Amino acid sequence: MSTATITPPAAVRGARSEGRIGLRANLRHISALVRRNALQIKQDPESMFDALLMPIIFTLLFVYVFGGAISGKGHQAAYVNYVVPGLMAMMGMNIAQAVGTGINDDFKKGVMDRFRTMPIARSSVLIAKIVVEIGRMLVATAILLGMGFALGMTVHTDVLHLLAAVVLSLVFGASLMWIFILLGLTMKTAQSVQGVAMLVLMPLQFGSSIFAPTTTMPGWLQSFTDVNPLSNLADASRALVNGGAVAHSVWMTLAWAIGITAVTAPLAVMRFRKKA
Amino acid sequence: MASTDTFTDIRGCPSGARPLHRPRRRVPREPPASSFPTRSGDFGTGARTRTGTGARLRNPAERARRQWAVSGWAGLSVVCRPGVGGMAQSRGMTSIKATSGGESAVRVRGLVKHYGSTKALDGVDLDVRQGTVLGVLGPNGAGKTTLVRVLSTLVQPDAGTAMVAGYDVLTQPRQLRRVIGLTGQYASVDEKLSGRENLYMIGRLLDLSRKDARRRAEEMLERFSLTEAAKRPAAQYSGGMRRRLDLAASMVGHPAVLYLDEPTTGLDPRTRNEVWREVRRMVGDGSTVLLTTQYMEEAEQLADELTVVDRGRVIAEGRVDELKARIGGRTLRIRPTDGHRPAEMAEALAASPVTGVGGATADVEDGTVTVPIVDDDQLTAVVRLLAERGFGIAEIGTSLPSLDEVFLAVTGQKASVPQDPRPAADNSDDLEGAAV
Ligand SMILES: Nc1ncnc2c1ncn2[C@@H]1O[C@H](COP(=O)(O)OP(=O)(O)O)[C@@H](O)[C@H]1O
Ligand SMILES: [Mg+2]
Repeated sequence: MSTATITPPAAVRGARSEGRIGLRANLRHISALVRRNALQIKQDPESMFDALLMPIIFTLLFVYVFGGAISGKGHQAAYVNYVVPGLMAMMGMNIAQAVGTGINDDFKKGVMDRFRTMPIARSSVLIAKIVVEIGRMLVATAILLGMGFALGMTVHTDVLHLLAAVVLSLVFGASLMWIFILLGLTMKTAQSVQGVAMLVLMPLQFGSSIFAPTTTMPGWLQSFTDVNPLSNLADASRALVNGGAVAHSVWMTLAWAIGITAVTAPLAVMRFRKKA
Repeated sequence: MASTDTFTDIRGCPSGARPLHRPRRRVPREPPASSFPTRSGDFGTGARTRTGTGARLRNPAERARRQWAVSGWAGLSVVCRPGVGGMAQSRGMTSIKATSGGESAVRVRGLVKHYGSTKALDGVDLDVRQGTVLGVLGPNGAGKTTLVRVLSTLVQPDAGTAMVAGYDVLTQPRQLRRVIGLTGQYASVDEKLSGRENLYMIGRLLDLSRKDARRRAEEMLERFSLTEAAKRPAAQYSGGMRRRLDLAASMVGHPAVLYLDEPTTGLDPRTRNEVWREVRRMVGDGSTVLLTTQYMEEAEQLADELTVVDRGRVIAEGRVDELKARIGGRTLRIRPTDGHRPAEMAEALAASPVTGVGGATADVEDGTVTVPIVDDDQLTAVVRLLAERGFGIAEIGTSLPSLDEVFLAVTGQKASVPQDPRPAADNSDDLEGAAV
């Protein structure tokens, strides 16, 4: 019944790839969105409390509450060198978890609709979030190391190895973020995201070599801690800081990070795209 | 099928007839635009790389012609068709379709979206010609928001097709997003960011350079009277300010096609006028606008054509003036001074020889008399008659038909969802205390 015909301009007709976002444009979009997230933190400084206080509280707590018990009275200093590299792994995980609740919250706001109707890659919104969270992780790690040094931690290797340990936990933390983003996009409320995250985090954190060597644990638990990627990461950072065999645990950690990202990132982006 | 008969009278289509195109040109047909405007990256010079329309629209006369008030510029063809099943069948459906003046910037065919058993869209067809404003008028729950969300790639339809600026909503969403702007029914700005930062961010996401994004942000803040509040986080804005920021955000990129979902619902008259002004400006600049609304007045102010929807279906469509002619002109409301009963006044009016005001009715609850009128002469005649008979007038004013009245006229039925009427002050030009 309509007599109107629709003829797209020749320049934009055909070419299936037309409309794809080029790499440079993509980076520009991500940086605009990173700026958005950073401004949000500036507007709401309390959202940085976890990254600022968690490393301080955890270091004090573990070194003084458990340190004596685990390494023997008066041996807290030795325990610092054991636990701080492990806490680096844990810090990444706890901050990664905040991404899930953040994304879930974001989705309640209309601004997501705007992003999803704009000519930007949908992944850029997620990547920007991850970039900012990695920034938060860096802050938390710096504070953690500062605390560690203040409590007598010493680096037995060198600065490069220490940096490698930091980078490794950031890489692993970033891969975990995709899991939490997926959770955040799937669950209805931010509270339930947090609830599920805790259910997953607690056993992973405590059933690992982060806080104590696994040798005293029963066999069944040991087989769990051995495959637990957090043990691998904790072992890797300890070896990088204190010396020792590095290769196996580092490779295992990287393999986990790549595996987790490869599976969950596409799922998260897909979910993000579908979410209506 | 009473309504179909009425349509038949006006259109001259035999009841139940299938397409009868009758182009009736009132002004020379415009040359069809050769291509669609797209968002241009070159904001630096203020120039927009548009072909056809763009060039034409720099001519002020042409711009003026796009204002709603200039009616009758489009050729008109009439389509009468029998209703197709369900609701439409019982109501009868007639469409008045304008077909000249350019290509469809938005073209929707058989769009269906169901949420469980709710038929949010139940086979919607519509066209928005390039450079015009289509008003989508309908009550709450009619499916307006769902339609806008499908057209902006936020929701996938269950069936049907939708093309925007030549791009398919389903298969070319990325290209489509380059040419659209959306102001949703609910504000979609980042509440933690300031107005300025929101607009800057949008500019950057639309690939403006830092400098241009900053400039454009200032320009939009200025236009929407937000310069003073520019630094404050949007969370601290009033509802009206937020809506303005939202509109500004959707206009940053000079979209070729702009969707406005109930842009003035809940706004005070001043802000509403500001919004209208900016929408007209966008249209003057060559944008095509699809606007949803619950208010006939808004449709009349902004739209060239109107599509009336209810329960996911189009129940009437046509040029605004055509529909208006069908619905009737204005409604005159008179409040007699104390001591005069509305019933007496209505009776006096009904019994008088004043042409066309036989329909005077008294609203006892409200204490007013309602008189449908078609032109200003009748208004004068009514006032004169009341003066002659010694009736005191405490308050008198005219208003456009409400959505309810539109529905009644178009379908012979009440709207499916009760309406909350817009405050009287908003849509009546009060002649308070007119001398008698
Ligand atoms: N996401 C959704 N889930 C379930 N029902 C929905 C959803 N969106 C809209 N609906 C229903 O579809 C119908 C049309 O809604 P909507 O498009 O919002 O109408 P309008 O914007 O005209 O008020 C309503 O009955 C509404 O309840
Ligand atoms: Mg709506």
